[in-house]
Amino acid sequence: MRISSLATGCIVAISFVALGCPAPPPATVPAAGDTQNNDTTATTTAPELPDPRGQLPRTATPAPAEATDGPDAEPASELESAVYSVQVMSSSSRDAAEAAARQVRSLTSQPVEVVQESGGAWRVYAGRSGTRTPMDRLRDQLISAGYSGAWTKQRVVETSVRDNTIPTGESVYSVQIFVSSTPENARRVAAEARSVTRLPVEVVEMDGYWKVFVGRSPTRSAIDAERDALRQRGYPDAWTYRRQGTR
Amino acid sequence: MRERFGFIASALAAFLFVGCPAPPRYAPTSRLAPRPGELPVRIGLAEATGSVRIEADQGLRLVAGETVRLAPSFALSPSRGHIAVNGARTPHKRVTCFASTPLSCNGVPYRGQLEVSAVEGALRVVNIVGLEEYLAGVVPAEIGRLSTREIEAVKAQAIAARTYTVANRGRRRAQGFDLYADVRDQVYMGVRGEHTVATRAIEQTRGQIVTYRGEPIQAFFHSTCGGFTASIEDVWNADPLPYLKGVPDRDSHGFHCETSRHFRWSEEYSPGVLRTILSENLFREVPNAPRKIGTVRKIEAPERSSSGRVRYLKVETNRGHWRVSKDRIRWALRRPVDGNPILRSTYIRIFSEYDAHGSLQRVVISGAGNGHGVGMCQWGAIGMARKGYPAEQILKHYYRGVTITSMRMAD
Repeated sequence: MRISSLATGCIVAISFVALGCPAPPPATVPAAGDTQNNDTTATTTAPELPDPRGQLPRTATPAPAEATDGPDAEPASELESAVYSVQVMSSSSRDAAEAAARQVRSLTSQPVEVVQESGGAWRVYAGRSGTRTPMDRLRDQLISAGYSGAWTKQRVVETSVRDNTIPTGESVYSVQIFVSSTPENARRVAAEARSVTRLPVEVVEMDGYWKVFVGRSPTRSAIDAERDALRQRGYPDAWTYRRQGTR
Repeated sequence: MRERFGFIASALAAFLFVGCPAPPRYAPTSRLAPRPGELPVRIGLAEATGSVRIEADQGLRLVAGETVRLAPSFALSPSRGHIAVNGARTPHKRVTCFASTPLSCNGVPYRGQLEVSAVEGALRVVNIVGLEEYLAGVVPAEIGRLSTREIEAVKAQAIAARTYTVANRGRRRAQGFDLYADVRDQVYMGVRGEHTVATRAIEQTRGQIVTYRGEPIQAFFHSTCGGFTASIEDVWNADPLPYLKGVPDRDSHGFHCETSRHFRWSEEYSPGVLRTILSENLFREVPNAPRKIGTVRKIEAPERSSSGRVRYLKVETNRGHWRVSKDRIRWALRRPVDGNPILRSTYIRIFSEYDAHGSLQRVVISGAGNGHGVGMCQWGAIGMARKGYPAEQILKHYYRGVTITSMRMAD
């Protein structure tokens, strides 16, 4: 072995060491993305703060000023209904809202939704009810589980759904009486409901949930009477949906 | 073949023997080191301390007059108006320490130099450090250790902190330095306060400040505005400033700071708790208020500014009535929790309930935000960064009518 090779090898190695181990690549700054809308609000005064008495827990996290609480309201249109839900949290981040929703789903069998509302915030809602009381119970349950900002809110929800059991171009009105994350629970409720109504009862899968519908009516007004009757017969969460066909 | 094998073997052996260099003990700041023409800043670490121990990993030198001493550490103490070094009194009232690496002052590392002076029987310690390296120890303490996703907010904070430094350099001249290292100016934690994302943000905004008509602004900032920032005259007895006007802190997607846990809050006071808190604090804010205020009959905030901040708090008891103005309300009406921290903000509504006899039963305060509300909302900046706003747009949202300018050298 020639000494020159040995020396060359050492020089190469030492040079490498002297220059240093390669530094890790710098973390990239996230792209700014599309420029968001400029501040377009014409508001020149600060929003009024809500009255927290009886609504917000003492250490409340955000409650939007536009929240309302009152008796059942008439639907704003045939495609909407006013329902009570528990707002669990609000965030400007969809990821944060989705993560919270996943945790909440492990605590309740009620449907948990992530909704982006008109102000742009992502909100996590648990449950839907035509009356406040069951949502207050759910709220207390979630507060006990650590969601100290949970509160019962009345909100308007869209009650038009896309249904692949109905031919495209057609639509019917039905009363939805129950929603479950498992088909077994939905089928059990459907079987029970058949004993209190003469209308057909069906279980339909939509968006990962199993929904129990009663009746198929060409008009909303005709099925609303059945909705009211079902609410009296032990289905307080019954409300009318327009099912738009996609089959 | 054998030669090739020998070459490889020797290279491998040398590599294993020498090894990769150990990572530096402190994060490299060659990127933030002072450049020619950049004036350093003098940060007061201690105004009157009894003794100081200065250490450094490499090349520690103590310069006193024309004398230079080299040692791994020096113990300094006051001695009859002069400085004693390692127990031996010197004829010097001021010494300066330099090193090749950050210097530790009583175990806390700082970049730059440490100047120790004998003042009125005690020692004053000043860190003389490059502006950008100073900011590296400030920005994370002010806005937190954020992720790269929020770097635009960190850049905005870096520019605001740099602007504050430039605008207030020399503010503490009478004390012998430029700025304090705490909340009286900006919280400065030296090397321990540094964070890679902040260092990168400072580097990318090097030399940039916020100006209004060519002059650096008073770049106030706070934690959470609650949806609307405050005009400076709404919070303090100060003249209005055109760039410190309350602004709605939102866009079409919502409030920028709504993810802050202080966005909305409430506090509840019983009459007894209210009496205790006001008895302990009202007299500090209102000159003629007594130590024992008596039974609280009414507490209200009848006027508010367009930014939502109340103009004054009116307190009525069986012993009199008093007013607390603007931001001082937060100190008078401390929170009814352990430690009695100050009220989060003056963006509040007060709800009072009375019994059938007209006696006060409870007071509930609905509030928004945390901090004085003037200038940049830090949680709002974070929210804007997450939405994709760049730092310049963030700053111009909170400081209206300003320009982001690059400083002249030796400004």
